[in-house]
Amino acid sequence: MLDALNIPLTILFFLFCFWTIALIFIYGRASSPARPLRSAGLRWLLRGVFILFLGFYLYQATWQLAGFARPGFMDFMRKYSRRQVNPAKEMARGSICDRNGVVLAFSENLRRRYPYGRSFCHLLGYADPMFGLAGLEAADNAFLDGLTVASKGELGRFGMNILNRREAEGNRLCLTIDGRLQAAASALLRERPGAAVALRTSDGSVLALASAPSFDPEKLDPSIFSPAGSVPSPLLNRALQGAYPPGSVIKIMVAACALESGFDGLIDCPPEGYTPPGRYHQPIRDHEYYEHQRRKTEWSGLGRIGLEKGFARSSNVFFAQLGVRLGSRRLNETAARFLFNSKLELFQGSSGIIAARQSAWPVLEPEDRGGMAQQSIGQGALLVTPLHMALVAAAVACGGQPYAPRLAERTPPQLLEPMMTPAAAEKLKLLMRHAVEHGTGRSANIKELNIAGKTGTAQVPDGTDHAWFVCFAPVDRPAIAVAAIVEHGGYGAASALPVAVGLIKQAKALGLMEPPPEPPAGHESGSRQNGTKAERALQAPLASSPGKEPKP
Amino acid sequence: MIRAQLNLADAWRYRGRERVLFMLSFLSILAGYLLVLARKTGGFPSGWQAYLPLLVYLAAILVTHLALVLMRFRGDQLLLAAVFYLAGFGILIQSRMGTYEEIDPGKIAAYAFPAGLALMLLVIILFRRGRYRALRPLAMPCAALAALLLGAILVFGQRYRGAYFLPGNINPADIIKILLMIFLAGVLARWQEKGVRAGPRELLPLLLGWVAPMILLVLQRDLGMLALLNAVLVVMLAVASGRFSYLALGAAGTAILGAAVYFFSAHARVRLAAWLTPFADPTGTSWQVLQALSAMYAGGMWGVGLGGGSPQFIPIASSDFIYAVIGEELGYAGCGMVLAFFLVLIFRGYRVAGGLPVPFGRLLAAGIVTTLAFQVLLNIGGVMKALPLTGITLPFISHGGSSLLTTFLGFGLLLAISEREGATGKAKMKFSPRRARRKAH
Repeated sequence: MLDALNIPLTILFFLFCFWTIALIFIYGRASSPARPLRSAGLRWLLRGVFILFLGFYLYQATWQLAGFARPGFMDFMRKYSRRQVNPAKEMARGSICDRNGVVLAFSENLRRRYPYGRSFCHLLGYADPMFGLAGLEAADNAFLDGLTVASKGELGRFGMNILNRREAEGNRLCLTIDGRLQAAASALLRERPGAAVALRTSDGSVLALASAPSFDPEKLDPSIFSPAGSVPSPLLNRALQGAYPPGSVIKIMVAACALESGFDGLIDCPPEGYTPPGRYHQPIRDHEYYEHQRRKTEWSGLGRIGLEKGFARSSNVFFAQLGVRLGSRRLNETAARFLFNSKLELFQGSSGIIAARQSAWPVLEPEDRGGMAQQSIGQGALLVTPLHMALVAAAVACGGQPYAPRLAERTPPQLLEPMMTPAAAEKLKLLMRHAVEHGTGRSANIKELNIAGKTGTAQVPDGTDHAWFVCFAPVDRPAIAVAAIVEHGGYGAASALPVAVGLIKQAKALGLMEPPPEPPAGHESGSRQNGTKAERALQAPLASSPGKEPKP
Repeated sequence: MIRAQLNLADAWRYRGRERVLFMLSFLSILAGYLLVLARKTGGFPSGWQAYLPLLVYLAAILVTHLALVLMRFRGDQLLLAAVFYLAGFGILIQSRMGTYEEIDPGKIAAYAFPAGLALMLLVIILFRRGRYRALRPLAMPCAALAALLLGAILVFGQRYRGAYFLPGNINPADIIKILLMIFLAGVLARWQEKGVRAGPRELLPLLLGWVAPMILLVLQRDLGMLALLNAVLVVMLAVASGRFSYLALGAAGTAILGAAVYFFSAHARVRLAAWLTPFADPTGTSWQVLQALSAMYAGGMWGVGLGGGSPQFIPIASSDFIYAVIGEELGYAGCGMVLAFFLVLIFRGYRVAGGLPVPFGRLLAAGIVTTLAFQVLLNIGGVMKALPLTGITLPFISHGGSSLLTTFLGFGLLLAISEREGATGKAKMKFSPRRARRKAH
């Protein structure tokens, strides 16, 4: 009986109430036609009181209707409101999905769920009642909670949430990540400390951004927050925050610098290496020197070689001398164009940004030949992030001018300033292809993939070298650029190369190597779509076995 | 003074608008009351006792209306309609809170509504047709009476929830609002008539009458009332003198007073802290206001329905925090309706004041209306955390006999003032709705 009466009686109550007010208003207008108050003071008083009432009533709305915009208030209600139904307990944070609409994070009974767990832990971060927010969850917190009104879609959601808070839901964040590729990257890293980044060259979309070791974002273990944990800093997103010496990977930049300066000569690479002029310099030697030493055989050196062979063989002796010849001014200038010492922003969120750590290029003095030699082979105080190196590969692939890396579909693709001339990029493409066909990256020479790349082996003070592989594919019509690093992985071709090649294989299997059907300008549509509950249920599983381990 | 006397039939027609509005108000309250009853008992009980508050309301409406017709009263009808709607709404909400179920025959609160209406009618009869001017010479005695009353409370009263009450939970401190408004109107009318703009000689009587009650209020630690009265004082000074510098003076006074209170009263300090940093101590000092806000949040735009909320989780729900109950059950929209009725009262009240040629009447009416407006603002502001909690009740709606009686008393006075002397019956006849309708055809 109550259910049947509830709505009609409520409507009657409001109806008569409103009727009364309306009639009072009508009678009031009819009886005293705009007779001004005699005292100006009273007129002001009337206005003042009216404004105060209106102000209070609007302020009330910031609690009663838009209270979800106050995090402390929501927290209080979730903890202490004893009402059986309080919309605060039902408000769902928006989900995060990948480029194919696969849900990577969603809310269920006020808990944040990450169906693909560890593969995305660094990128997505976590939203935990105990430990707070991290990653994308932190950077786009307001958007996910439905508090932003920047676009029409967000405004609509905000309004809907005010009117219908039982179904209140935040905005859905759509990423450029391909979930299956990300899962593959994560699997390829096999929890070895390291990172893998894949960029789509045609619009800067970050297709994969994996870091290892990982953690479980649903069950945060307090020990990962203490620096003395058993696993080396699992919270660190190495793809963005890891600062590594680039090793031979920097030779891409030095080669670009040389090509632009018109270098076309030969440099003698003696077997005993090259010692830069000046005091206290150790000789710089090729890696073959050490191999021969270990095998107790004679190393005769590379002899007089040109850029192509020096690059393919990744000759330190060649590049150290090349760097010194190019000089500090050219190297510094090229490094600046390659976005060293500048900020690389991937994502502008509603509550923060996601940016890569600045890659550090210590600016060289004109006399510092030792520094020039060291930095030209990627050693010294030079530090880079994996994302930055992927961007460098993308620059070569794009004819010198890459798109800015972007994480969210809603960020429009944007070209960066050119890193090198198109001519230099074209030559560098061939150099990198040559390095795969005939040089250090021969294990990546898989016919159907057509990879061009550069290995890197970065010496570190503590322990085995870091292994790098930076590449793009296919060489004739580049679609994807990849950088992979495995900490203490030894020789670059041995551990990092299989990760990168595996990623490219997986990308090809997923159809990501096809040329984009549309120009990248049409990417704004659908980027701010809001998820519904039905969509949340529709979670198509990611590729069941994310990429088989490629044989090196 | 020559006046045309209305005959009874004309008077009946003249108050037709009031009748229509009363009827609509009653229908609205009836729907709400049935809803509350159905929610509470699961149906409509057959005994008449369950409908007693509603019947009392209906009877009060009829009696008042007939009395006013018999009196040939020509005061403001729309003001009265808004008063009646709000009074009915108060009865509705208090029924929902179960106030009338545990009625104690010994307590005045049980009879507050009929008694308040009787008082209102009495005041109308006493002071209508310009007789309210008789109050003017009583300005100083009113201030003395206010001081006396407050002194008596201080001597004989007992503390309860931070305020003083006489035995039987009567808080006669409410009545001083009216007394001090009469005093203020009397003093300020003199200023206006003489065209004086607040010299020291004019300020002296004001200080004489005003300071003693204020000191007694401070001693009682009734800071809410203190704030209310002084806010009204400042505004009235500005209105009467036409000088807005009084507002600046008031702001400065508020700041000094606030600082003094902050340093000398731990009680006020706690409330101030709860207001400024509500999430610093959510389970302690801010618990009340945060629970009230949670209730309003749960209500949302349209509310959970009358009788459907959980006011048991709101502290002091039936008196100080009644606005939160409205917010939860009738939603933001319901709160807007209630505020709209208060605004009607205020607008009509100021219109009554503004239409008067006599400074004393104008100032008295304006004072009464301003007091009501600030009382509403202080109460709802405290509930929605726009202001610190002051313990001021929501007029007509909050539980509390003396508050209701005082409010009716004030509106009786206002209605009496609204019946302007010298108005001819003929001039007023055009307000008859039936005639107006005929004309339209």
